Amino acid sequence: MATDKEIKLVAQLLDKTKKRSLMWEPTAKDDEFVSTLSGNVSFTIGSWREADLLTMRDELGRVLVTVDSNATVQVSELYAEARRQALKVDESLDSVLDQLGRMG
Amino acid sequence: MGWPGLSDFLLENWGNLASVLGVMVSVATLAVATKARQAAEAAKAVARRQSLTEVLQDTIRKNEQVGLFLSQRRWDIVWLRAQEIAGATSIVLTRWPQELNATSKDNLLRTQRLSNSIAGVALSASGGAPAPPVVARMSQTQGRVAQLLNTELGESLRSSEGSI
Repeated sequence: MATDKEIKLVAQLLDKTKKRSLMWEPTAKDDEFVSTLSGNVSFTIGSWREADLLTMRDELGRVLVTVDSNATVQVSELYAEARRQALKVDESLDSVLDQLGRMG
Repeated sequence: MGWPGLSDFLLENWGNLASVLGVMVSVATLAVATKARQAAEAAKAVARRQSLTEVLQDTIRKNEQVGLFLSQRRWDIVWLRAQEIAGATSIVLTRWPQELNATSKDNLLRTQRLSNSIAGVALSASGGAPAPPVVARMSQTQGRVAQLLNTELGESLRSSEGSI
């Protein structure tokens, strides 16, 4: 069960990710992405069989908070946005659309 | 004022003159002590920065080993070195917080998480050969870790040169 603060955290992360002020990048694990904030905490978001999972860690790598998509659907939205940004999906789509457009 | 006058003046005011001289000596001593303290602090800062640079250089070497052993499919050593890198970044973040700005801390936190992810995949790979896309992803992540660590080493060297 996620607390109000945790739900608020997810909403804020989603907002900042959409505004591109929070940058995500892929890790070595399939479908997992990482971001950091002010040099104090790191976030990882990944997709698992049962749910999408957001984890916040401190500078020693200790888990501070975990929120999954069963607690709030915004975790899944955040996962989708983070994935889109980290894998540069929009840039790839622009490039493909540009090439298709030039084909006539 | 002639010599006799000066002599009388000195005899009558020797106490005041001694006090003035004492104050001047005290001020000079304080100035020398302050300079010495500042020099000692500057030397300490240079030594701390030098230690940070050495740790970053060592961490970069470990990451190069991750790349090497990754190409040789030596998953146990990949796991070990990647764990060591993640641990080293934690040490850097806690031991040199004054020397690191927010961007550097971000870079090191990313290094920590990325190396941990390499370690995680290497651990699961030790049970069997991972698919080529998995190895490619590990290799890309190792390259990104190298990029982040080299940025921080450059920053550390630049700061060291600036503080000399």
